[in-house]
Amino acid sequence: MATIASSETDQATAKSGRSFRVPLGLVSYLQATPLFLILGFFFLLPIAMIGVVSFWDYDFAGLYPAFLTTNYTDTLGSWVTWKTYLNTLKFTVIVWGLTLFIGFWVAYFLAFHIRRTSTQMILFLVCTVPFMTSNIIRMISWIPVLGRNGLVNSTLIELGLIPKPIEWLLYSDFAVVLAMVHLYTLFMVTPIFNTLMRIDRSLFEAARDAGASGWQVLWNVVVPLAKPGMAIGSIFVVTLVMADFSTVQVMSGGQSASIALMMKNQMSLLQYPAAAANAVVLLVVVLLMVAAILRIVDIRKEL
Amino acid sequence: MNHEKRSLEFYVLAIFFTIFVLFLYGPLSAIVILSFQGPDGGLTFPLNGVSLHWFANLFEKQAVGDFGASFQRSLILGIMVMLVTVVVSLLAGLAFRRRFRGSTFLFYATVASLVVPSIIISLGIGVVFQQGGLAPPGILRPSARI
Repeated sequence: MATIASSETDQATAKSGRSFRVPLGLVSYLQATPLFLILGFFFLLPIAMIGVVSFWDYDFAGLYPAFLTTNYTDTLGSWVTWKTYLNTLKFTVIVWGLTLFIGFWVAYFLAFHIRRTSTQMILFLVCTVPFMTSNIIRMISWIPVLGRNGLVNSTLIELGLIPKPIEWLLYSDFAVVLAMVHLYTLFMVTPIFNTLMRIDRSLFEAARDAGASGWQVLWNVVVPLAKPGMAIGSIFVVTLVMADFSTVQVMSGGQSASIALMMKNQMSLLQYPAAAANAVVLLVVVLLMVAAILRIVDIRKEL
Repeated sequence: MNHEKRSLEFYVLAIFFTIFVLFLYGPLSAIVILSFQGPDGGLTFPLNGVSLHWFANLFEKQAVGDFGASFQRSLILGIMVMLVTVVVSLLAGLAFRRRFRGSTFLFYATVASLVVPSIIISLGIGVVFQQGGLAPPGILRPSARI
């Protein structure tokens, strides 16, 4: 890094005699300005605004600047909020566990059991292609499969395994979890695959020479070295599930609730300050979860 | 090394992987097959005849929006987002080659923007626009809704 920087400086000084050049120090700032402006206006400012608005007063006609804590006491004081948080956490834990399990073994298979790099890449792309369609399409595609007269039910009846259609396949918590696993597993596969590919294969031989069994190699060599990938995948899955409203709405048929869905309903009722208070609480919870993951696993060398 | 015998682990994981791929593609292929449903069929199996009826239907006048216009809007939006993202990311990538004051902050802000739920950001942007008087007609304006 240092050598690259210094050689660039040399070139710059060599050229400066011939033509006008922006000072090198300034170039970085100019190059970073667009990103800085976008993050400032569409990330930092909105979050700050939510923090401010969450203390405001409102009625059906508009928002009124004030300093009220009622938005927070209403949100945190109602048992509906707590129940919804519990429900969202339940989805998060189940989906996280399933995606971690599936993601790890899929990545493990791709990284260690496929010997040719080209086959590896093709199989990885096979996993990636469905993720290029929109979430909504992938969600809706479950309906003809899980529905009352859907593929699963009609097949099971045809085979004589069940007398009448199973009702809880669609529009239930089961459907929500299934769709979320379907939607988010790739976010777990990719980072774990990346870390697994970086593991030095000679470590396995060393472990085997030292007398380790297959499971011991897996548990004492592979898993510890894959932890950063698992952590990154977990952060993606946890934040996505915690903030999900469309999957919960579509797949539960309105029978289940999540925090983001509650916020969305408040927004459509134009109760922005209430939604903002909810958003602040959700943001704090999500950031605490991310911080907890980062405390357990150090991912800095992956960034 | 490349010719050593496949272990049992390989076969178990290969089956697991195959099931995973079927799980990914199954519902999607169901939707693709159902799109060729006959004119009387719905979103259920078995197929009620095979036709291109529903594809033709897309290009006719519909009750819920106009396919051509929606498609055009999506395409324009996609191109705009692509151009802005490529330009901004390329410039930022060039900037990050050197350390500069605030580079760490900018980097962590970028990472954080991935983690913060999008519904929170969209609520925030909506409120900023509304308070800045930038709300387009019909959106975020109480009088238009009630």
